[in-house]
Amino acid sequence: MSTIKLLSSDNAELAVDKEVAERSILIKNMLEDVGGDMSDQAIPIPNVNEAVLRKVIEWCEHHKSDPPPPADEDSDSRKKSTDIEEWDQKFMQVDQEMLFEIILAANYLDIKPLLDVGCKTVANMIKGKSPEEIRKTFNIQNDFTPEEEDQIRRENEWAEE
Amino acid sequence: MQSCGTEPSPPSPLLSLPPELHLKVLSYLPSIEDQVSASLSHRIWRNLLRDSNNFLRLRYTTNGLNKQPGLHCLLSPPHTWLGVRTTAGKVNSCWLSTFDRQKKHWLYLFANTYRDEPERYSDLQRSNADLFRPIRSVDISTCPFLDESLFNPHLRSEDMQAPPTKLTPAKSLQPAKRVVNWNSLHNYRAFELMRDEGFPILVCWAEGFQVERNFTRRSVSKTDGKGMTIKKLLDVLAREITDIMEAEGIDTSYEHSLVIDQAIYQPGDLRVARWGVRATILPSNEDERVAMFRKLEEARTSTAVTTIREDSGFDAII
Repeated sequence: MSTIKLLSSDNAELAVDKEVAERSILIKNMLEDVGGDMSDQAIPIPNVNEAVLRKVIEWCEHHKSDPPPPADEDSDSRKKSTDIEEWDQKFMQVDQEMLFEIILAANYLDIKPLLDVGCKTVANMIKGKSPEEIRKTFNIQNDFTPEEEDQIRRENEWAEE
Repeated sequence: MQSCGTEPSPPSPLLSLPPELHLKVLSYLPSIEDQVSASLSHRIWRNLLRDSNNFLRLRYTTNGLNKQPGLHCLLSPPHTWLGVRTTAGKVNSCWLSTFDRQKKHWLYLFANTYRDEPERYSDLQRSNADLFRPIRSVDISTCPFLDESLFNPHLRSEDMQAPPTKLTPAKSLQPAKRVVNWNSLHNYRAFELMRDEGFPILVCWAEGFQVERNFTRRSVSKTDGKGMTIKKLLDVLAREITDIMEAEGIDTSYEHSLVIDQAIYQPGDLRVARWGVRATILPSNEDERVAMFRKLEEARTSTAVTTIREDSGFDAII
């Protein structure tokens, strides 16, 4: 099995099985494009630091033999489940900064199943909460002022027909 | 709350997501109560939820058992209730209460017990008082969804023909043939009538949530159905109900709470069922509660009582 090297944004070189790295469609396409052996040259991943890249590789290792995801499961958004398999749930038990960095990395590297797991994890943190509880969970400020609310409401009312 | 501006907390990493990833996260939250909470928690989500047609579509019911398709989910969710606080015909605030789904089934049990075995009713009520407390109540007075049309402005044929979530055994045994779906056609007609001709409002007194009497009904007069927003509906309700309450000798200068939902006012299978909007008046103090309860007792024992089923007044709109 061939190994390739990835270079994180903070210049750490990580050796990964090619098969594992190819869970990332970005890397897979890149390898196909160069057509040959990348064993002596590290692939730069400029948007992802070492800690996050290690996490992402850990996920790819565990899921390396998963079947490819179905092409389009977004057809009926009413039925979307937020169920997450147990290993992934444990994997996602990280602080929020890491969670969102994993999501951004999965998006950048084009690893759809990991992106799905990340977004489901965030959705589960929102589900069943009041607006105040949501703000507390994510440490976000209430950015609506009463004047603004009135303004928006008036605009909506007159915008009709 | 924790810092008084001296030391601004670092921006949440959540805010670093690009819009398309916010949309992806939100796409896992199709229920009305999660959409409402998310829309009230941050500007980013509020704008995305309000402006995206995909999410707008999810805020309207599809065809299903006991469901009027194309109605805004705030009025017809599986286990939430829209509430309004009103004083002297003015809406003060709106809120959305979420109940455990099972608890709503309990409410029907209570209503049936009250009707069929009144002597068991107080026991049942006492031993299950906590069933009537919502899991959560959210003030939605500033929720952008209140300015949305009561009826789905983009109703599509798929919305009419989505299969019911639960099939009765008889229906599920029917062969899955491509045949004309009469229920859908009927519902579509009901939808059009409701939207274009107006619809009845049932006003009920309630002792708690358990029992209700069809007190009076009014149609929203030949409404501009398409332009009728939830907020406008609530304004109409608050005004109409003030008249009714004053006629009953209730002091409307106190704040009263109304619970709004869709009602089936002619029960039966989907071909004969008719829909309307039901507003249930909750008593604001113990005296009113007792007075309402007495009215209900009178109504129950009176031979002149009209039940929703027997009342033919609603046929006027069909």
